[in-house]
Amino acid sequence: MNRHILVFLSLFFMTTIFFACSNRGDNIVYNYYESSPGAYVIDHEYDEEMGFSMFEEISLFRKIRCQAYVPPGYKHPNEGSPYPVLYLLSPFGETEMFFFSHGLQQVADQMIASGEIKPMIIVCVNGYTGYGGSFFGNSWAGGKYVDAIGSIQNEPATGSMIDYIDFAMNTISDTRFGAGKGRANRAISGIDMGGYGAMRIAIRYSENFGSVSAISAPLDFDGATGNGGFVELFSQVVENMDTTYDALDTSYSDPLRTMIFAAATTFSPHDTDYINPTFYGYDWNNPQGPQLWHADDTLRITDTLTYFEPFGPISSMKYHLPFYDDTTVAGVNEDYTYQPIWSLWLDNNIESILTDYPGALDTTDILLMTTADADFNFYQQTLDFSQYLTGLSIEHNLDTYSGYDGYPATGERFFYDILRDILKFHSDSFELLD
Amino acid sequence: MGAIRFFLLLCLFLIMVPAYVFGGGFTFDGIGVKANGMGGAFRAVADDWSAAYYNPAGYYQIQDNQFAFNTVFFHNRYWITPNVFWNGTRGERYETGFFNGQEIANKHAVSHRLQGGILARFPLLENETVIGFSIIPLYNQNQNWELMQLIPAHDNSASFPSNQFGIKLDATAYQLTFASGFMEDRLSVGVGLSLVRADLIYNNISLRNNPMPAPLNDRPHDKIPEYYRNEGDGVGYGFRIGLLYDITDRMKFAATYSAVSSIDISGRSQFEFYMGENPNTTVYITSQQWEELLFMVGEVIEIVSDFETTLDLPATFGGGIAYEVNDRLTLSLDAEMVFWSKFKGFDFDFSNFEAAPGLDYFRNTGYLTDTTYDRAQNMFFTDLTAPIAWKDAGRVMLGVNYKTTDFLDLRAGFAADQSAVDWDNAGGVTQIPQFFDLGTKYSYSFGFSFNIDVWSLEFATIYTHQPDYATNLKLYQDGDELMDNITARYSGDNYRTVLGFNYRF
Repeated sequence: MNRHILVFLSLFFMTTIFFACSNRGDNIVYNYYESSPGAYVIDHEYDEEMGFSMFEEISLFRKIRCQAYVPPGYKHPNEGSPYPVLYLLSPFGETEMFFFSHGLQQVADQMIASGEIKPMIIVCVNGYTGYGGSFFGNSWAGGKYVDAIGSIQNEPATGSMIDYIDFAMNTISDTRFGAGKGRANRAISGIDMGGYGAMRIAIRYSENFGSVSAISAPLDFDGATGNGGFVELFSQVVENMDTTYDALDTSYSDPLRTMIFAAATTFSPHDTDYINPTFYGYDWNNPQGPQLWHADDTLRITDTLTYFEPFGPISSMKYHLPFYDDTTVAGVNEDYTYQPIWSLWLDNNIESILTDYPGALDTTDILLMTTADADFNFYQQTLDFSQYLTGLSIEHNLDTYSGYDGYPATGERFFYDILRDILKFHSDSFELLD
Repeated sequence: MGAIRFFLLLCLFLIMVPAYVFGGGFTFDGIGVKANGMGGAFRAVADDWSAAYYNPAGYYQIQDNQFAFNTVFFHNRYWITPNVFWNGTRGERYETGFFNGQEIANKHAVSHRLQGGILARFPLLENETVIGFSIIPLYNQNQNWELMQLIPAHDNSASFPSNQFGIKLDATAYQLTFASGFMEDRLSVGVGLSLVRADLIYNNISLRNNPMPAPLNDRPHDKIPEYYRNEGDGVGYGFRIGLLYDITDRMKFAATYSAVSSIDISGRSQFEFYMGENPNTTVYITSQQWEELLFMVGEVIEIVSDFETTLDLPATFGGGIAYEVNDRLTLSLDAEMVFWSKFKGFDFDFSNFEAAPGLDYFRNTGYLTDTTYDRAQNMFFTDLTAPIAWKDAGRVMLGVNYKTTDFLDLRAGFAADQSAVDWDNAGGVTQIPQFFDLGTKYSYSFGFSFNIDVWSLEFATIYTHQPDYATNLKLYQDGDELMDNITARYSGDNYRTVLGFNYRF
């Protein structure tokens, strides 16, 4: 009897320990995913007329630097299935590397791996200049980014960015897959200055882009009333002009002023001679020598009231400001806008571009995002532009985001998180081949 | 009993207890096989070596000299489903790196503690006195967690240690116990004086604010994860007193009180800062802000230092009653209050920092200016806290011992253990994986003893269920950068098995 009890209880206790203390693992599922082979550096030289700019990058090398993310398993043309393309335009003061430093590759890899988005090529475009950027405008001085990026000329060697990308990479283009296929699988996006550029290019070359998104971008220079947008900010710039008016603010100590000056380089440049970028033996003692090359005189501004030459007369960096600090002068409004120059800016306003190309956005998928924390009235500019689109009965998506406690969503701080929404939006818009 | 025999048994006991023996609230409930079999309702029973812990006065009523050795195996099966986001003001939820939505178990571990005691009756003063020496694990907390991974802002080769949130806290008493009888032996009084050694390993991760300006602190570089590990020990002292009163021949009443001094713990700390890898360095390097490179290149900055902290363990007050229904059946009922409000968690003070090559490299090569070095210092060399806001908690225990034959005793018990978490004070609640207390816990125990001549071979097993708990507490309760609450759904069970023998001589 005792032996039976002993055996029974011993087995009982061993069984109890065995099951109670068994290892059930820790149950963790790591977020591992196949990684992209990396980014391709695009080293394409543009046609002189298209790529001309006197402010760095393009002017020096006639190149717009960009890097292309390719999805995991990417194969070159004729070696695998083609991919849709998203063009991302950098924000003010940043290069194409902005996107990679904000997790582009990791986020895209994750979303592709999880099936949230279709595999796509993402071309990150540099818009940085010595002033921080020229708004992806289309001026002879600031660079003809609109044409260089958005046009299709079917000249891979010297044509547009799309020409080159569709030639060099495994994309879905009209040339390879028939009319309409390219547009349905090509998108453009940007944040801040890049958002302005994306919207402008999507309107001017609406035949080439099926979707566009702009995040906290200057989309309405003068606001819904004509007194909003940048106009509200000019007084702030005027207040800071006294001590630093004649200095190029490379330290970004006053981001608003730096951005306004940079915009002037492309929206209201001063016609000037410029140093031929292919001639490196420039003779500073003979600035009128043969190496000088005159770009264009079709936009010659003869008005000198707000003429500004931060590096003095010898520099090619000269432009006109859209405001003046003395409202008693003829042409200067109470809000400091100087109408002759301001009107040149308004010619570059998205509303004006859309007026020039009516119906351009009728078949384009549009996403607008912004935050109340956005700098430089970009929040209200986005809302005002949305209101404008609504007035034109143009369908679009408008979304807002915010920061978290102690960390407001200023600048481009939340691009890493917004990127997921951008990629999802454009992925849903792409119409892959059957 | 001969003195030589007592001495030899004492030596045997000390040899069997390895030097590393050191020591959940976190009261350690695994003391004594019989006591565990009876659900801890042992204050008025107190008839084996473990009376040194439950009620020192019980020693006087033990007629034999005893030598006992127990080992406890315990296993915490905890689960955490993190829900940790940075919450946007419009309802957005931003990624933090936590494995949100995954039900994650603590790292598997079957821990064990050794314990035991020896006691003998000596003619001392006017009364016969029982003196005993025992090793008692008083408090224990032991679990490790891997709850997060680096978000994609870092060098792909860098990864957190797997024991990210962890604690190994043991407080063990080395106690001398004296007990004697009064009132014609109807009243026994006992005193235990102890040296208490505390050993601590505390791992944690803090998501520190990146001190650099935008865009260097743009998401996902807004936070710099800091892993730290503190390992140290300290010594304090404690005492416990108890009385045992025979109300009738079959009914006893007990009362006990214990306290432990504050224990200063010191040791070494290891810090690892996982700096963001930000390839967008071009603009900043060309604008002559080389010093900020430190915050861009994905380095893991390693630092070591000394640390000091204070462990305040709670006092306890308890009472119990035992009733012998007949010669075979004994019932017991205990109640205890543990003054957990004394325990405040840890406030770590660091000193003698030694920067590892990473930081020195950046300073020596001129990448860090004095200004940036100071700013980095404020982040790298800051004292840390792990605050806990608990309240006093009580528990009741019910036990039964049935002597089936002279050969076999069967035991069973039940305990209800009130949570130390201050549930009524939302602002005072802290919930982190290191201190696991989810609510009122219920324990069910079973045990038996084989009695063979002067030997008893004993076994007890205890299952404790912790209720599920989901917290939406704020991550940052007290305004610093250290997470005071890990927002998650928690659940847990504990399994404990105690084995031992008792030798009477």
